[in-house]
Amino acid sequence: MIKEALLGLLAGKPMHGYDLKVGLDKLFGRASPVNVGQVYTAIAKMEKAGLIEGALVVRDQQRPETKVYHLTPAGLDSLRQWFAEPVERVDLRDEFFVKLSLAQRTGRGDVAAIVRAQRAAALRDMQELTALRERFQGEQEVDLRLLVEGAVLHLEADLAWLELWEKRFARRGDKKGGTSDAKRDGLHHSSHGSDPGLSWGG
Amino acid sequence: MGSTIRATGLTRVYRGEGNPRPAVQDVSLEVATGEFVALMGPSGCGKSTLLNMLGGIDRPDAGEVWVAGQRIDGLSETRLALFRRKHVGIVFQFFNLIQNLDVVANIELPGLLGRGSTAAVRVRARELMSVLGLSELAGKMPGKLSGGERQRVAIARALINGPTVLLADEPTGALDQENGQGVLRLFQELHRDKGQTIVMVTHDPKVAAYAGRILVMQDGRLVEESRPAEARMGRLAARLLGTRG
Repeated sequence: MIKEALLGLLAGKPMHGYDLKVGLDKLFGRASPVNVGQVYTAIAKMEKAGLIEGALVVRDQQRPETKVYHLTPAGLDSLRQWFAEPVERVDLRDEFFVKLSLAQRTGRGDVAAIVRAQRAAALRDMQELTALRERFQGEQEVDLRLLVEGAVLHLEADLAWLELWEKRFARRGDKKGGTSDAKRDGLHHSSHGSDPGLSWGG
Repeated sequence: MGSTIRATGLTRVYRGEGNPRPAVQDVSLEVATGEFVALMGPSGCGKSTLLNMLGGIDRPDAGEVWVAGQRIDGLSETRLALFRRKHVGIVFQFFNLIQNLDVVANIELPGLLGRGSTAAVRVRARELMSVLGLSELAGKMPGKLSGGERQRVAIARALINGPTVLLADEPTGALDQENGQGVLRLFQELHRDKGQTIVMVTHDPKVAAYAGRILVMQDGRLVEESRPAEARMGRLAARLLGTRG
């Protein structure tokens, strides 16, 4: 998921390596620290794959040039593809949180569509778990039944959480005509001002 | 498999105080014969209004409703009442049993109002009570029953005329979890074993999950649909249960 998160950060504005590392730390929180080496390895791979491009920039005369990365059209495609796919399971601070945060902040993903896709996936899980639970009715299977019950309750919370996202962002997005992607011109403009109060924590 | 219910472009606008408010907007859907479908959404999303239009209880301002091959949205009140008696069974959140009739009389009543012979209605009521586990309670008054028992009586009553479709509006809303699950399992059995077509309204995803297909409503529109896939189910079981699954 590091790759996708980096693409998402660069969809907001061009950044150099260290800023990307700081950005990732903020996104993932303390739960899954990413080391600098991993970030630079990922950047190198993504540049080789043509998803991002680096340009040397002089920051001041005393210091060496630094490479600032921006998203290529292929990188944006890759990011959109990721936005369009539901993730397997929702946990706070997991891929889904990162995805929604970035979609919301950059305006590159349609929050309403992401929430809908995720809810459809969660409901399907709920249907499947409900059927599974019915298989464990005996006394010997009480632990399995409770395990499934726990998963159902987690899903219920996930669904309620999706509703909060929807109330906060998605419906308002609908009124404005969904994502502002089409209205954007270049690929590497800064996106300041498109972050209405989302806390990044971390 | 044909469709039991077909609705196209259904719209219903409430004109109360203030501005007219669309409760249901341009909804189209089909329910196949023998299908168990849940209409899910937050309160005020229009799901009960939609259910009522499908059952001929409310009329759309625009659009068509076909049930069992018959278009019902333009029927006169008298014809609509006859249509409902023959084709629609309804279960509500608060049971709506007649308090001074015993269990068997409550179940038989809609049958006796219909055209069926008294003897046939008696047989059918006994059959339903046996299927729904009510045989022991035949002579009891509704006031003496638990919530779960009352809802089972209401389900038997809804089924007495062998309806084409069973409609349920928050059928577990007034029940505790155990009794609620009992009612939902009953719906699944009726759907699986008797091929009963069921459309159920609920705000609760845990309840909706008992249905074979979930339609999600929001602001008067259908926004998405969910049905389980066998392949995913195996994966989910394996992931959750490890080697024991």
